[in-house]
Amino acid sequence: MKLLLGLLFVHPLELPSGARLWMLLPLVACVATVYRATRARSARELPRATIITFIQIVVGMVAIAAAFYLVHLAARHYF
Amino acid sequence: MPKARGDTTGKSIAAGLLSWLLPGAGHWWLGHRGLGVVCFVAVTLPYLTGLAFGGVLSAVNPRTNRWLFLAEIGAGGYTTAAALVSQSLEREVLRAAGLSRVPDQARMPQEYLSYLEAATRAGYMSYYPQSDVATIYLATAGLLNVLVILDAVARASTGGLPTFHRELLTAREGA
Repeated sequence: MKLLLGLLFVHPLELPSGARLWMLLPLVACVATVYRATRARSARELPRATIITFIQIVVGMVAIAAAFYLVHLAARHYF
Repeated sequence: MPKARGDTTGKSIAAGLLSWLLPGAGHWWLGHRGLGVVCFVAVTLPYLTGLAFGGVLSAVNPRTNRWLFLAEIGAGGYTTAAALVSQSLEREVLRAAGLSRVPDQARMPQEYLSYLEAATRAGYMSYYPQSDVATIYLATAGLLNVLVILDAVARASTGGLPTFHRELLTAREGA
């Protein structure tokens, strides 16, 4: 147990290459869950609302990223 | 079912403290067992993921990473335990580097570098991109638990209603 905890939390794990961007999804899922949990009367209301919020956040972030990419392309083209 | 309304101040403080010590424990104590489990998982998962990628020495350290520590303290139970482990690892690294305390990076860059080297040799340090992911996960987990604490306090003081119940009712009436 001590060895497992040591391996997990004392010596940092390596992040597989290309995994950095995908780490966004579990974090967004947790944010959506807690956000919806603070507005729900019971846990039964959560799954649908959480999925909708998760999709909204991901779509919003992709849209922001795309907008910044276009600004970047425009800046490279005009300046 | 939520417990009946009584002395809400004591109940609110107890629910907040329980949530601070263990995410979701306040909700569980108030009778919202499902929400308690959901909050526990949604805060614990990112916290432990961040800790796994950051390593306890650099990720939970009020001396070398104070702003991150401030966010992490939202998940108080976890951060207290991790800070104690971090402190003991720090003592080990300081001994290996021949230093008495963690040197200030701006004032003593050479000493700070030898501290970093000793920590890296021991395999306790995380660098980009792991440290980035760890910082984001740990800070988010700590701040999410602040939301969980506030929700537990709100539910304790209103007899089980969620944080934004009044706003939701107003919006529904307006529609």
